[in-house]
Amino acid sequence: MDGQSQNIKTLANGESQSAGTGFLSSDQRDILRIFLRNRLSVLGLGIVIFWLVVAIIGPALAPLPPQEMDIMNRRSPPNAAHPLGTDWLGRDVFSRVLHGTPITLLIGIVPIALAILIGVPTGAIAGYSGGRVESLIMRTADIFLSVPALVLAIAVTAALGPSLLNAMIAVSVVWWPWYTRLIHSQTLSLSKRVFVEAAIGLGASHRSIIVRHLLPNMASSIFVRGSLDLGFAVLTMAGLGFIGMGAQAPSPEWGLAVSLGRRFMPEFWWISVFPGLAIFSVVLGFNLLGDGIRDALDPEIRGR
Amino acid sequence: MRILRFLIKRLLYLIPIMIGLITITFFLMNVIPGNPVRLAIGPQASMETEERVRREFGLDRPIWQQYILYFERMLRGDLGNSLVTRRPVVDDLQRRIPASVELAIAGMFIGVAGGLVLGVLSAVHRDKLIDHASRIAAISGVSVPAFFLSLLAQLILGSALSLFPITGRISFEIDSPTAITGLYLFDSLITGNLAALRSSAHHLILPAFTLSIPILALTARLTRSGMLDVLSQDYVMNARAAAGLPERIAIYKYALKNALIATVSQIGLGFGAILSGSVLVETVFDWPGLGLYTVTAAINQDIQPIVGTTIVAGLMFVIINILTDLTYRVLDPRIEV
Repeated sequence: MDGQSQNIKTLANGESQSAGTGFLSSDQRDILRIFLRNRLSVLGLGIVIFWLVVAIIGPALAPLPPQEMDIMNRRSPPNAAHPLGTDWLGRDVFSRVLHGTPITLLIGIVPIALAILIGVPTGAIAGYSGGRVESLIMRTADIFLSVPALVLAIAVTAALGPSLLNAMIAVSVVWWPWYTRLIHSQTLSLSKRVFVEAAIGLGASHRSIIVRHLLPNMASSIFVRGSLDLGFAVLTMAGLGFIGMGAQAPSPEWGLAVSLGRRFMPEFWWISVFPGLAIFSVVLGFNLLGDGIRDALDPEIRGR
Repeated sequence: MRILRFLIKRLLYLIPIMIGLITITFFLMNVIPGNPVRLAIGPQASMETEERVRREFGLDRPIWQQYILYFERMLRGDLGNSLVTRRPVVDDLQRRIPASVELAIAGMFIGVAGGLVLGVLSAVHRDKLIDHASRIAAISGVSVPAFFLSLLAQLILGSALSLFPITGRISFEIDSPTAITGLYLFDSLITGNLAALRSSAHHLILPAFTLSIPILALTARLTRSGMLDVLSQDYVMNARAAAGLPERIAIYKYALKNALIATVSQIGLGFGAILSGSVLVETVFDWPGLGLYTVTAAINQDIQPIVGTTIVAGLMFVIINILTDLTYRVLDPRIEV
């Protein structure tokens, strides 16, 4: 998106618009219209909103605390008292899925937010300063990207010691170079644009050029990339949980739940299958939503 | 000549990547708070052993000297010993790499073949039911956790329908084929060992299928958009409308070739997904490859094998990317070398 020309356009016919239909500019209405036209994007939004609501009120609504054991009813199949059955300790699978929801959403969002926090400044500095600083930053990013994501995440978590926090740190360590690359290339192309050159000519400081002119124009790219990456982060974190490198027992985290229930397959399938389905639906929601946001904000690649 | 120059340039680029990988793993082992010696010798070892190992590895010296020592050790190909297997990591890796390579090749093959079929169907029948179905299948394919899909495959195709064995590379009753490459399918074919061939193929199908799903989704998506790019151009649309059946098939072939080039350019990324996915798939199917080795090491806080697999997986990934870039340039000479 070209924020600057968008602003100019809004200025040019601003009066008629603000007199018109409320608080959205015509560009924003276009974006919204394109987004809503795609049924799959709307489905994705619906799934994500559903899980957000569950994350907020689910733990309060859960019929049982996540660690409460019903010793008499261990490994019982789904029934009226336990809609998704109970696990090997007699804990209610439905309640544990509800209690695991906020954890899963958090572990999707936090690593991506951290990766953005590292990637945006490094990318902007690399693109803006050029020379040795640029090649040092970009070559470092290349090296991090040369190891497959999950393998590097396992190595970092193993070095730090397995825990949910360390797994989140590991995923952001694996993922920041993508944002560095994105911001680097955007900085290079924006720096050549007239409004940035004008700001330089007017004697604006480096900091003010980066913060006031470059970053606001990259916001939508960062937003698109971030929303596309959320599903990936949830998958990676669940994968780390599954192999024992993420959340630790007795956490109701879903990846861990699938892993621990595996011992009781195939007879007591519900212990693993329901948390697994929950992961799948959250990631599907994030991916559909991310695709929709990209299509709406980035007309170049629309319809692919 | 241009291709050769490109190849040399990319191979030279391996050097800074290697230096970087060695530096990162050194950082992971030493700079991060914790006791690297304890990690290396395990919690049961005595204080005397700790002191001896500390001196042996030069850990009583300044950090930059340690770095140089570590670097030399890596260049000699000495990746240390595994606590779990009690063998040099290099030996373990040699034993396990073929299993992972066989699984990765099979997964890649199924994924690309299946993705091409789905992508072509999608593009030819744009916005019809089959297009929507294949797009939904593709986005589901990248959304399902690899470990969960593995479990479902075991549960449904393995346990409930008893179509496939659930774990391992070959039946216990059958001896492994004589090791030539370490790839069971290839070795048993070469030596004419039909029993081993059948059993190992049977064991390979489920994990390879699970591993192929993200590649299948990626290939389907790229093939569809690559073909549509060509088919939606004005002159092609006119030609398509005017053409008889044979010409129309020729146009689709042309569009498919274009799509293939786009797909090859992205397949290196797909290989990263295969290497990451194989960690989880190998864990569930008890497949004796690199992924399972890493996970076992990680659970046991066995740091040397983790360093070893990180470096090997990084090298494999970079080399695969060089090869796909090379293929891409051979296929499409318009690309700047």
